[in-house]
Formats: sequence, structure tokens, C-alpha cells
Amino acid sequence: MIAHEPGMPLCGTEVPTYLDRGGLQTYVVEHRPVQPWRAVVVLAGPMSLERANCSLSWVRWARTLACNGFLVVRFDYTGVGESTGSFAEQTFDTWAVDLGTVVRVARERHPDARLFVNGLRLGALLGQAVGDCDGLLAWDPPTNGRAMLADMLRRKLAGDYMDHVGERKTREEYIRELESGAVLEVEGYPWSRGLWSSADRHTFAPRGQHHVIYLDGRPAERLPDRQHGESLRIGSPPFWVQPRSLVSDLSELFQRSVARLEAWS
Amino acid sequence: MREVLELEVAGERLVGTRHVPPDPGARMGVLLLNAGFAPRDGHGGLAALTADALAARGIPAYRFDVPGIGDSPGPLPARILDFFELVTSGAFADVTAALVRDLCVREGLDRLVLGGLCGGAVTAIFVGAREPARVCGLLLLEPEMYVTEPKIDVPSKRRQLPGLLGRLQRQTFNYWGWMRLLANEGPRSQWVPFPRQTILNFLRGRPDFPAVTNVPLVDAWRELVRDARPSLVITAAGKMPEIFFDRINDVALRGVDTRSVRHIRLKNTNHIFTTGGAIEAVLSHVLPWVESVG
Repeated sequence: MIAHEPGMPLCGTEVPTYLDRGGLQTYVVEHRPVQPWRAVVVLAGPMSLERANCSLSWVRWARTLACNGFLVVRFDYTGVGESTGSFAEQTFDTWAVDLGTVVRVARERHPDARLFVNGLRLGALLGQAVGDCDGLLAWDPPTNGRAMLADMLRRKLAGDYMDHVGERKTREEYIRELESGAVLEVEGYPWSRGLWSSADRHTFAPRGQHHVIYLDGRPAERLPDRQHGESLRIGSPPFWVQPRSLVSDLSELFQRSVARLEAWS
Repeated sequence: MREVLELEVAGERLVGTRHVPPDPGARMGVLLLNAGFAPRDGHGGLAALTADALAARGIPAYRFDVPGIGDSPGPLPARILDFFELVTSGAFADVTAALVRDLCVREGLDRLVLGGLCGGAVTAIFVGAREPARVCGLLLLEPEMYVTEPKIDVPSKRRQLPGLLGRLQRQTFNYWGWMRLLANEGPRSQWVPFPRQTILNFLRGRPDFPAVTNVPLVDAWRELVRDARPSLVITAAGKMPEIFFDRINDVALRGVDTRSVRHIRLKNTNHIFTTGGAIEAVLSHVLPWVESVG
């Protein structure tokens, strides 16, 4: 595997652009390798602050894939990052549509290529619903959407404690507020009742050409589905929660993932 | 509407976003820089939302990733502290100054308000001092006027003790540990009985700079204030960047007319403004201030 490190020449070109979607603009970056490429990989990332935290590793991974002969498409969900739209109006369902649209456009542009989705956290959860792909490589999928949001709420509670934000609330109080229709600020993003309730409709259940890599180093007996999964340890806290380095050591994850995608393609 | 911009500037490929106002022809724009190593939209989308709101008011706004961050390729140190040392030493000032000049020419602008959060504010100060004709105002969110941590931990002359004693020694003499305690930012600080305000008042009364002052940055800042360049400073009330900002300003700006500086203190928020409704509060202050500069 060729690992791309910051400062190395790119293994091709990178084309950032906007997909116009009837008033919405979805930010997409295509990494095109110089050499003939073997398959398309659509990267579906995590949401909100996790996206910002993992950004350096995510872009480095896209560049590593390009160096290993994959055409990569990464994008931002509506209301997040460079894509337009109001975060407060988004749900897991609207973000699933975003991913489906990006996959469809990639298919139209490269109709004869094999196409895989590689998702991290939210992206892994949403990736399993994409029908038109030849495989899903899921990095650390949450059990379901609600469990992932609960993780983030836990971080909000810890932040309240650290930042002395005035009146502190319990998780149950926050959830009650959300369910009553109030907008809740979590890690700088406005969560709505729609987002909270949509999370219930997304549960991770790998099947067919799905492969899962859990990143907490859990033993094989704790894998929910050994047929579709493996695990490795990347260090704690993970790079999407709090990067400890600007160039996190993800070499084993990258190697296993490139090997899996090469085997599929 | 947003558009992607890709520019070759000072030998670097920079990727950015242009927020286009409904009516063209504005002569002043706003350029926002990365908050530390976060991508150019900022934590909670602060920079993207600010730029959207400015464009909606007719002011073109731009956000760019500096080399190595976000979508702009470039080298990057592995250690976070090494990156902050780069930022505080002004390592991104050359490319940002070149970007300011390039944007003004390409976009038909006379001048730019330059700003950012944390590291972005630091670079904005360095560049503002170097580009007086083009940088007409500074938007400084949580500016950190001090250098990074490792150089002033346990002094090298002090013999380091082994094991638990060594840890205790390091904690006892850790400057930043004490500062976090003063700023109420440590995880255990609220449980430690401590006359914080009395000590802070004592420190503020001292006539000298703190040992960790970023002197070249403070020199640049003093020049900007002397020059009466409009500046909007927004800090998280009571947090460490604000404590240093106040103390350093007390010394650096003594006798200087500071009417060009507007300082807003946001309560109940954190360094990256992701709690306490800070993003909306920042917008409510930034929009009228930028219009007043224009």
C-alpha cells in the first residue's frame, strides 16, 4: 500500500465542486488518480463536530486511496461543512438522500466501474441503505442512530461540566426538550426533534457484500456479526472525537481497508 | 450562493469558498481563516454561517484552507503543539498576505476585513500589520496572545525526579496547570478552593508581560491599534485566552488610544464557541460591525 502523508505530492488531481440540487448545493471533491484506476470509492463521513475532528485523517485517507488506484468521491452532508442548507432541518433520512444522490451521480459519470461506499460512523450507518453499490466498507458503525446521538449527548454533558456553562441539565432533560420540539445545541449544531426521531429508523445490520471494521479492538466474540466484521484498535480517544495528533497512526486501518477494496475490485 | 475557488498562491494550491452576494460591485470583502486545524467551515459551521450572513447583506465573503489543512494540500507536523508553534510564530502569514493581495486583484476589491478564531486570529494580526493598505479591519475571535506550552514547563535546570514524585513535581511547576486552575478550565478546578479573582487582579496589576507573551504578535497588535485599524474582538468570558488578552493589553496598550477596538465577552461558552448559543451571538455582533467598517 502506498500511504499518502501530508506534504507528499498528490497522486493525481483533486476537483472540488458543487452539485446543484434544486436550491441546495452539495460539496463534492473528486480525487482522480493519474494511473488507470480500478474502482470508484464514495466516502461517507460522520456528522457535525466529528466531521471537523476527523477531517485531516479523512482527507489523508482519500489521498491514500487515490495513490492506490481508486477514484475517490467525498462530500459533505446538507447543512454541514461546505454544503449549503440548514442543519436544523436535516434528519438521517435527508442525509441518506444526500449519499444516494452522490452515489447516483458517481454511477452516471462512471457507469462501467465498480463502486464501493466506505462509511465512518454516520456514513457507515447510512451506507448500508445504498442499493446501487458493489460493497460497503463500514468503519465503526454505531449500533443504531439513537446510540450514536446518545454518544454525542454524553459529550455535551461532559462539555457542560468542563465549561461551566451555567445551569446544567441531565441527559433525560435534554431528551425531553428535544422530544417536545425544542432545538438543542449539541457541539455547536442545532438538533431538532426530526433529527432525534429519524435516528430511530436507522439500525446497523450488515448483509451481503458489507464488511465492518470496528476500531475499539473488541475481541472476536464481541463482534455482532463475525461473518461481516473484524476489529482493530486505533487508540483512544478516536480521531473523530479528539485527535491527539494531526497525523494519527491509522496505518493498520488503511492497509486492511485497501486490501479489502482491492479484493472486491 | 457558494462557489469553489482554487488559487495558486505563493507556490501553494489553496482551496476556498466564495460566498456571493446577490448584487455585485462591493469594494470590501471579508476573508476568514482556519480555526486551528479545523477545516475552513469552522466548528459548528461558525465561519460558513458568518460568511453566508455577510453575503446575504451584500458583502462578499471568502474562506480558505491554509496549506495542510482541510482541502488545501501541504505539509503538516504530527504533533499538535508543533502546529500551534507554527501558527504563533506567523508561519502562515506569508501565504495569507499573498492570498489577500491576490483576492483583492481577482475579485476587484479595494480592501478586506481579515479574521478567524484562535489561530486564524493570530495569523490575521500578523497579516493585518503587514498589509495596511488592504486589510481594513480585523475580526479576532478568541485570539491567543501567548506562545505554546512545552517551552515553559519544568525548567531544564531543575533536576527531574523519577516516578510519582516526578509527576507531582511536573504538576506543581506546570505554568499552564496553574493557569487552567485560575481560568477555571481544569477538570478538577471547581473543587479546589482558590481566590481566583484576587490572584487574577494581582496579575493584571503587574507592569510587565507574562513570560509566555508572544512578543512579535503583541508588537503587531499594538501597531494595528496605534494605526486605529477597526478591530472586533470576541472572547469567551473568563477563559484563558481572555485572561491573557486582558493582561497583555493592559501592558501593551498603555497610553494607546483603543477606541478602534471593540471587545465583546460571551458568557457561558467555550474556546470554540460551540456552547451557550455563541454562534448566534457572534453573528449578531459581527454583521453590524463589518457593515460599520465598510
